[in-house]
Amino acid sequence: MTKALKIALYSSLTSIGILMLSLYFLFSPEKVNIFPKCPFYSITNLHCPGCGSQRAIHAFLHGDIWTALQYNFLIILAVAVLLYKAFLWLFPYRKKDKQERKNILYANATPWVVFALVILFWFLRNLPIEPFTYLAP
Amino acid sequence: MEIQKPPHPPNHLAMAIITTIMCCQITGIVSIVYASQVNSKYAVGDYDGAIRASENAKTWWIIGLVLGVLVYVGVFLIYGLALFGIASDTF
Repeated sequence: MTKALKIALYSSLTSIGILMLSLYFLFSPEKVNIFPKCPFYSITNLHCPGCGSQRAIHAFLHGDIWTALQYNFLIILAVAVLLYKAFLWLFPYRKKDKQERKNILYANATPWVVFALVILFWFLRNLPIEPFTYLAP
Repeated sequence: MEIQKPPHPPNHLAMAIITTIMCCQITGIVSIVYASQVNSKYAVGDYDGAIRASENAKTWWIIGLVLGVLVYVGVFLIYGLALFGIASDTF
């Protein structure tokens, strides 16, 4: 990829991102139907691991973090991984011996833990029993 | 004598999680599985295999993202045009 193409790609992606975020800030996905519905939910009537994230983004942008988390708890996972990556990018070396930090995301078990969390969350949020109904959006 | 290890190829776990949550569980989960292969292959010294798994992980989250964006554009076009029609009728 040439440099000009890369700059064009990244700047258009950034502007799309800002546009989307402002749409999610201005309109509530619960009241306006300009946002797409989850195809998995439309077909099977079951919640997928991503169901509720549009409502969560709306709540999050309005500062309502607890409501946002109740729509989709996996957001914590995404935010945690992003923060961790930002941390590694800002501070790649350890202070005491100047060694490069180990990346936990590159450990053998990490992707499997994430995989298990997603599948477990998918399964549990569809159970109509008391403690698990809080996981549903 | 120890051979110098090549750098760990990116396993795209962050983007895999984000596509899983935001739009496309199926491709996102495939991407997570490939991310795990990147790590396990690199750990046993299969560096070429790790690079291939890394490419696959990247391909799958990009497929998910593109599908998601297509659905978004489609829905926005349909509802956007409908809203525009309503607006031009009332004013």
